[in-house]
Amino acid sequence: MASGLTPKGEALYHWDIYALLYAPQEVYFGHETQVNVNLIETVSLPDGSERVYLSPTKRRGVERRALLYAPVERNGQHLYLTDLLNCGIPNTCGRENCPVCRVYGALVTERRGNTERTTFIGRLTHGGGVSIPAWQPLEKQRAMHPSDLRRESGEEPQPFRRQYGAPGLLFPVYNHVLAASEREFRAVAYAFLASLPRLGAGNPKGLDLYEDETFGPYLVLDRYKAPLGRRVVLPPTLKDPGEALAEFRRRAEDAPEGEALFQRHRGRAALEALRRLAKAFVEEDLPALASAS
Amino acid sequence: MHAIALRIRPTSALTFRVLPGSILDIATYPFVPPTTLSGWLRRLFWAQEGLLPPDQREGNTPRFYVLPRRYLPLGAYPVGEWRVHRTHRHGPRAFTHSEFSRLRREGKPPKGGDLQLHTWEYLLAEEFLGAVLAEKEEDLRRLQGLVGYGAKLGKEGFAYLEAVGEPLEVRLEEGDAPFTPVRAEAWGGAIQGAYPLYRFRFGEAEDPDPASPDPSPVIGYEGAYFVLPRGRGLAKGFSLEGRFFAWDLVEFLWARASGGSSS
Repeated sequence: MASGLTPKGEALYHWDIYALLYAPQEVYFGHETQVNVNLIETVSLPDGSERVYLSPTKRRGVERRALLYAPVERNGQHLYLTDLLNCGIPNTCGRENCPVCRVYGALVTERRGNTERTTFIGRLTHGGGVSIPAWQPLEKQRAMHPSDLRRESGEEPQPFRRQYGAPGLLFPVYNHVLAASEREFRAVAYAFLASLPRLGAGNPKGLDLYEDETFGPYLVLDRYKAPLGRRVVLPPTLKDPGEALAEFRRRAEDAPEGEALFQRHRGRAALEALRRLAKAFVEEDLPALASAS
Repeated sequence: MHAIALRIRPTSALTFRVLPGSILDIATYPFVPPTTLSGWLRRLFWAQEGLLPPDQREGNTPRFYVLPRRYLPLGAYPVGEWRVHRTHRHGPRAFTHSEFSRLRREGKPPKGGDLQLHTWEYLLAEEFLGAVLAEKEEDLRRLQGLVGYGAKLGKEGFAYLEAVGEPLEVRLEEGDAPFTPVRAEAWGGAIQGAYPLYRFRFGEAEDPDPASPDPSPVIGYEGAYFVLPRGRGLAKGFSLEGRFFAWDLVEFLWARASGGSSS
């Protein structure tokens, strides 16, 4: 096969997840540490504003780990998926039957035992992450306190400063999968949902889908052969949260109805569809992997 | 013998590949070589006639489309600002595989299935001054009708003929700052570079008219080493548009006319 993948008897589709996440509390995405200041990652926009940035590469890493730490049972033994597959970061296994490497990609740089040098191009790609509105990062004084009950000199609390993204920031994020079967996409659905409570470095952690009464959760799921729907991508120049929500809804509506080549789920229906796929991953795919290994 | 001056204006960077060379090093002549100019002028004749260039992939024998032997193109040389720009690129080694679109690769790539670094040179020039010689003045006058036409020039790039001078009788004289290449073995001064130059070896058949779509009776090339002088040094030649064209090139290119038919 010119693609290097063995064809399977399952239909292939392109998949897109569009979501608007919000920070229910302060968030920290590590960027770099200056002398005793932990900076949050930001991006600068042409309009001069600096935005807190949920880098898509970080989301990708959190998602991949969510998959690696998926609980799986083999012969009464309880394992993490990473131990079952012997696939990790950065030591990816690159095997064709690995549900993680199949969509996230892999690189095996040198021959190890009977594993050849392998390049596995990920078909899952991530985008978005520029926060709305243009709220500046907040800088706070923190300290690490030693737990000693009796303290001697040289064991004073270590003060440091850390920047945080403000609560309420909105993060439009997008995941795209190129030509994958529903079975392959199950892992993506699982990882997307399972990563939400773990986004952010250190503590506090976690983002969630923004939700309102009319639209439900701000989530759109596309499954298509032909790209007929408007991508629900927000221009980073949008500053007003109200405008951003309206733009998200407007684009979400911009898709054909009853079209065989393009199927879109919005709001609650999209969330239910992702949950169904995530459930199938846990109920069917993980036990199948355990019994195959 | 008569000479006519051509003013050639490139619209892009140009590459005139120096052969023999390495497949990884695409080097360019810093001027339009005589053989290239010959083929380019042939294209201008076609453009004037409204003919499209022939599909050279047809058939197995390489075909040549050049000016008849009665024309002696001496090449064209940059006037004004010019320089050679050298770039580094990654390119495929072979085209018989699909390694670069594979989603999954395992083990060693097939033969030629990796990228290789190569260099590519571009000649960036504002304008070229070229010269064509011919015994008969009226042969050169035909070139005046080509003004305003353009064609692909060299391996990469495009140029058009901006102006053509009046045919002049060539007067051989001594000059001390040659503008064109001279025979490597005869030159003692400083040089800008050494280049192999080629002339066509013609077969027995008659030359087609330059405006005809028929191939020329070329059966191959004959080469010799030339150097592009830098600065001063005595040479035999003639003046055209204030530049001194060395006679070495004429002698080399003219030698072909002694063999085959002299039409």
